[in-house]
Amino acid sequence: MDKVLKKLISMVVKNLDFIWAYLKYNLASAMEFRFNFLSQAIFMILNDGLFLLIWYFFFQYFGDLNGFGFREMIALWIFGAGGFGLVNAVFGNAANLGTIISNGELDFYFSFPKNHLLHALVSRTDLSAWGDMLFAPIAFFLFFPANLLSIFLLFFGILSGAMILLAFYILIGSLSFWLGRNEVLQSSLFHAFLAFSTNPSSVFQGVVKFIIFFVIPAGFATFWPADLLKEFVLSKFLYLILFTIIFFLFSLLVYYRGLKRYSSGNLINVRG
Amino acid sequence: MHKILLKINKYLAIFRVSVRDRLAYPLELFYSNIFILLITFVMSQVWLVVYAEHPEKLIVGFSLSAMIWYVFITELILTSQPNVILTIGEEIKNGNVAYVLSKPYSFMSYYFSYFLGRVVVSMLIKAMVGVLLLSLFSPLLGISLWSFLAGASSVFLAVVLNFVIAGSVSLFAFWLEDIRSLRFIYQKIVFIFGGLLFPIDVYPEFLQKIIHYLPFEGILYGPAKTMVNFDLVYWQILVTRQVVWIIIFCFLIKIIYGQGVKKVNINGG
Repeated sequence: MDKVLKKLISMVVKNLDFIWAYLKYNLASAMEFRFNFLSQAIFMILNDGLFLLIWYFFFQYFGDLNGFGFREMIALWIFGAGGFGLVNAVFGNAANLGTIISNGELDFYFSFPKNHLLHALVSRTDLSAWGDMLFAPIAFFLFFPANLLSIFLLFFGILSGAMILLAFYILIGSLSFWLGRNEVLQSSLFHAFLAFSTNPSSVFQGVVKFIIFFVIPAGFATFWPADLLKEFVLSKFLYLILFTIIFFLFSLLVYYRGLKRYSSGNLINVRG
Repeated sequence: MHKILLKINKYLAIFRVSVRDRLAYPLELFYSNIFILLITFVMSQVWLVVYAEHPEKLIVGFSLSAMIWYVFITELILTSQPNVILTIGEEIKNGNVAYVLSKPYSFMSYYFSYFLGRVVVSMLIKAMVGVLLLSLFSPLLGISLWSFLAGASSVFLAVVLNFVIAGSVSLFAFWLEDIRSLRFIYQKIVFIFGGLLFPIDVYPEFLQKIIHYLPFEGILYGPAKTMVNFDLVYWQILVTRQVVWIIIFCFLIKIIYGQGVKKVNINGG
């Protein structure tokens, strides 16, 4: 048991080292086009802020929606932007996984000793996502009281939201094993996730609410972390951890099930 | 006259090729309906709560069903637009613009015809599916043939206006190393100043005044409002503004393209 645990810890540490090394490499290559990188990141922060400003106008005009007001909206955007930013900055290829699979480009990653899925996911960074990632703490410190619990919940919520989104990316990317090219479907599902996670949670009821939590789990990615930031409930916190782990493992299960159907692309790929 | 007809025929041929090209992947076209229906659904849930107490009331002149249709039409216009800035920008960056210089057509007119073909197919299919579904759940009352035609004319001008603005932005690829930032900024400006999620009448008055002096109202808010809440006076102002902005940006395209194309170096053949 001790041996297995040690092996598991060493594997996690090695993979974290690998992710960190790639992150530094991706950041360094992004800085080669400094203007492009910084402008995209800064404009994403402005974009998120402007979207919130528009919702501010909305709530000023119409008031709360079933108890959901501007403050709740900020919390939703903190976790929406933070989770999205973290995934796309660190695992920037997650959004392209379906295309990589349908083009037979996984071959390239098979030839390396590291886990091919992890390698494929981390080998790109989305420049504007860095802006999203930065927006989360900026909005948090501007609008929420900072104490040990709230700061912990900020990082916890972003991390769990990011894991749920990454798992969702893996799931919709895995559709390519069965459907072949289906970029538009994947993009629609992803945008559904985004739309559900950044719009007032109080307006969804009944079947729609079920879908938002268990089919396109945007509810767990942003609604619950936002609720926890408003009022910490231990059972909700524990359920969120449980769901995140189960959903992530489920996505890996589907991916590896699909991998058995993968056909090689006969592709020679050289990366500079 | 004969020369003009020949010119039109040339670009019509490009338009037809683009239509066929867009129709080549019917399943993709079908999937592209999902997002627009979904976002309309999400926003309709918001409006249902806003109008819950008095479903019959008008807010900033919009009824509940008009608000839902407003979102559908702004999304319809936005999601039917091809990626003008990246496509033209890439053509300039990878040097393909040089091949066009020797061809008997204009670079920008070629792309206008090509994009128009794609927009027409995409918009018609999304409109057919969306109108059918929305009419079942939230029929839009009070729409006449004339208001529909007025709305359709402003939607067409919105497509042209979007093309000329995005097209002039894309030409900065002659000077910039990467055009993606500009595309990103343009997209967000249209979202916000265009009134994508809700009518700009909800914004504070000072912002509305600023927006009236910008061209983006003519891309989303104007056509959507005309379609769902027809007002003859507003439509006349809107169409005039759209045409004026289109002319201004056509001039800008001419100037920027003229300057940019001087930077093209052709080596060998």
